Amino acid sequence: MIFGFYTLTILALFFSFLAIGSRSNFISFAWLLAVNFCVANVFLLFNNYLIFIFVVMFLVFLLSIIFIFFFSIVGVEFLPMNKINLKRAFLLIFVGLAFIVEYILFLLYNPKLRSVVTNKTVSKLVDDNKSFLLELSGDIFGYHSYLIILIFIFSIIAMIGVNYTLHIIEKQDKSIKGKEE
Amino acid sequence: MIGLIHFMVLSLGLFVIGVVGILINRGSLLSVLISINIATLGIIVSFCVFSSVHNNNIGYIATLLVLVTFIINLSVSFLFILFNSMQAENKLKEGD
Repeated sequence: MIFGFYTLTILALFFSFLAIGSRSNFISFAWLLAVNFCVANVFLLFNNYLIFIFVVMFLVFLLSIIFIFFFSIVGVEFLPMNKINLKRAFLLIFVGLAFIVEYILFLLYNPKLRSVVTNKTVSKLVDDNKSFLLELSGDIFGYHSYLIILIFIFSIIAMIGVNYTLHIIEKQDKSIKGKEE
Repeated sequence: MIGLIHFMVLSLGLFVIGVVGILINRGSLLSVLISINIATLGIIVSFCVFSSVHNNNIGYIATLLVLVTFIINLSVSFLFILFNSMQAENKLKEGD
């Protein structure tokens, strides 16, 4: 738990440095999402219910992106539908989806939170909770460490993937502009 | 054992970085918005920690209010990015 907290704290501070230091707007926005991930995971580590609010926040954000692209697909000239913009949109949606998957995992494997959602008592849910994944993971790692490992994997893959790909896209943009000039 | 001080360090760090970002990136509106978001995250962390320490829900309610502005801020930032990219592409087309 302490290791997870320290890791997330250092990552959050480091990513926020990168967010304010990046020259490109899009890359600094992606780093901001990474900072959000880290802070949300701090709450997640300590079973805080604020994770719900963060999920709602990301859903609103995702919906706004999806609506913008829907309008552009149906013919409203809001954003030019070129290859780079499409890539950017899919990457941002991927970040949001990774976050939602985290949330679902958290909901599935946390009896306390499930009791809030389904109005069942915690003890009954723990009895019901004998799913194959829990049986598989519970004996080896223990219930919470399995969840935390999954969260780390999802977050790190999402953060590295998105930021690295955005970096490459920005490079391509610059090279295209250089050729045009 | 993780105590109040650990969370406060995280909160203070995020807030200071956000303020420094605002001071450094005065020229770019979007960078200022992003820095404000980072500073807001620091404030949210401190709100939550103090409300959980004191077993008081007022901190969570304040966090909700802050988060609503945070969502609006994020959406506006993203719209700014889209408009920026749109304008840049239009300029490129006009240049051709």
